[in-house]
Amino acid sequence: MTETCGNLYVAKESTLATPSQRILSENITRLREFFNPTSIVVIGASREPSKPGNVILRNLKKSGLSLYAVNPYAKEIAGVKCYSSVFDVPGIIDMAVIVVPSKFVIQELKKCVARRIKNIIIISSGFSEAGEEGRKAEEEARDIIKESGTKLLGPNTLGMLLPSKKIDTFFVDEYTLPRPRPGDVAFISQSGSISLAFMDFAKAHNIGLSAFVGLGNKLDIDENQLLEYFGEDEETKCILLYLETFSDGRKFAELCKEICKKKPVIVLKAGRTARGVSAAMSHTGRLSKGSDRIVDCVLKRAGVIRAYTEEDVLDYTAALSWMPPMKKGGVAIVANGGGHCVISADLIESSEDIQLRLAEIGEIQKEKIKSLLDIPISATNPIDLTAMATDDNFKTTLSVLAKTETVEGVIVELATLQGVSERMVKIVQNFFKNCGKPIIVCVPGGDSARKLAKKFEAEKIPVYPSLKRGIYAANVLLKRGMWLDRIKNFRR
Amino acid sequence: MQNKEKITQLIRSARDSDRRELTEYESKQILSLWGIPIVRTELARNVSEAVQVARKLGYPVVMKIASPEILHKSEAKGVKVGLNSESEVRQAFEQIISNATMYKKDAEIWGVTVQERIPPAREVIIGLVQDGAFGPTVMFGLGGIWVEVLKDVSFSLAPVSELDAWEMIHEIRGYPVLEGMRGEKMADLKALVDILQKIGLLAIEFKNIGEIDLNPVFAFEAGKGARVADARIILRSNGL
Repeated sequence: MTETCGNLYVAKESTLATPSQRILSENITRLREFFNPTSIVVIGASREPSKPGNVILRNLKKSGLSLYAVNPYAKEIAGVKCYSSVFDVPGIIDMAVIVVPSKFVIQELKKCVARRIKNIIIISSGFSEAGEEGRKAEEEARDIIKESGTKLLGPNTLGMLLPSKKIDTFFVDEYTLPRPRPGDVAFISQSGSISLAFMDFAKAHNIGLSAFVGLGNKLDIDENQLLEYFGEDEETKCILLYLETFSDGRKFAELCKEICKKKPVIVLKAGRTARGVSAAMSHTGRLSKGSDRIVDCVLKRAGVIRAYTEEDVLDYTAALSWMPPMKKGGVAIVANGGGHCVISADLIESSEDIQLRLAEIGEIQKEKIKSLLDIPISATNPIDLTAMATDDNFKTTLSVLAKTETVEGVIVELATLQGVSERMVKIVQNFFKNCGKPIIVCVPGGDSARKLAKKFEAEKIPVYPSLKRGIYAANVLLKRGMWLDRIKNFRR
Repeated sequence: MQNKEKITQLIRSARDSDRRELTEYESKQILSLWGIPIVRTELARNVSEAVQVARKLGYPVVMKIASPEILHKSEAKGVKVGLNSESEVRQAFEQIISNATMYKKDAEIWGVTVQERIPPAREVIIGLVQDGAFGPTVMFGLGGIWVEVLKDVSFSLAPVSELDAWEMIHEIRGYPVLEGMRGEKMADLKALVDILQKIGLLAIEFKNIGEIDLNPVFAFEAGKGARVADARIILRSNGL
């Protein structure tokens, strides 16, 4: 059912839109232009190095695109020529990044539209998030772009980061916030602070991005447009969303249901109690009002993996973008310590939200493991190789598990001991390469654990600093696999 | 098609008399026209009709006040259960009407509904709500404390696919109750799936329906179906 695509699994019988549907999606065509500008003007460029108008210009310079700046008082900023108005900038401009104070945004937006700039990002804040006056300004902006064919991102946004093109409109420099590498995860976010935290996470854990897009106040471009776009985007293999509100929840669910057949979608939906139900005269109405359970159920049916914290987002992204899904969820645990085994068994067997189970390992396989190892163990799952275990003991055990049919996936749990070394990375990698079963590593601990974990991450092997996080991440692989299976094979 | 028109008529007549909340009798008529099995319920406008209906349905019967102005029937002492004979039916009719008049002096009273009493079954609740973000959404839960105390419910957007409906039923915590405990047989899940799907379609077809409570729905043993025992349909506040 699945085929390898780099280090990532996609459904073979993907339900990509039919050619006719593709022609129909004006949205995708327009966003493709939006994300592929060749010339950009920064309106509100600043000479002050700490100001957003300066940082953005410096960040964008790295793209090597035709770059212009608008500042009526400067001739040149950071080596970019300045013009006093956007009307003075020569030639075709694909994109404008507006970063002037909010009270000047409307006039600059008008100029951009008159100048026929089709793609606009308004970084400036001070709009609907700031009160009634800002809300009115947003209405005005909406009227200005209406029927002009303009695509607008923001206001009140970090803008976008396209690592492969080095297009970067963040008002934070790379020294303060290193950017993640180019990759295949698209991240759409309604919050700046969470986005920045995730960028840092992604950088630290070797998660590569195809794109980051900050939704801001969603004046024009919203999550549904972006979801449709990244659903079709070939560079993107996994989509993350941080949302506080749905622009159109029903459309969102419909889009997810289609996209999830091709690639995983992870959603962190915050603001759980802020949702209304029109009236609540009925019993059903009272039970539903503000109920987060509705969101839970709707997302689940659409195949979305729901995250509840920023940590979940990171954990699930690594698992889902680096490992294939599981259908039945029988896992084997291999550890070099009894405590790790016992805690994991408890978690798997007694957590209501964990559907994984410990795979039954047959007597023949058990005997095989025992006979191949030079240490006395019972080989019952979870398999405790004891503190004496070496890399080779793990290798031997994994080679048997690779061929054990009841084992659909493996969780390797390591205590940093003399016996295990960096060679474990290659061993785990080879296991995955050879049998294609998902494998997840847990290295609980502090600095020494983190040091080893980084080696796994470098090879795109999901690794977790706690047993619990590793087990929940593995469980997400099962959730996804079960959904795919249900959608495909459901019969009355 | 004819049934659709009849449903539209029922909704319109409530609208025309400025009522958002349909009576149990009207709600059940709509459900029945839409192919959802209900506990047999008929309207008796006077004592002799009540006796006739009771004889037709077979004893014992349940009788409830039928008035567009009395929606909390128990509160108005407008429900009598386990009526075993003609004389009990006569007595109940008079009592229900006089209780209703006491409860609300000038209430418009259509009569009394007479329902067949049905064998014991597991009780579930099926409902519909208009969610602010998702629009028409169908709810499923087990009756009694499961829903009252534990809020053990699940949802799906309308229309509800067959798979959605199966998932809704399976993902409530109280699911083992439907599976059967202490030697009990499995409840008729297929029949519940069917009702869930039909409620979803009803909301899609009749956009002016705002909320629905089917509470309780009796789920019999597998193969024996399920039937709606009490129902409320509430129209949206913003016109037809």
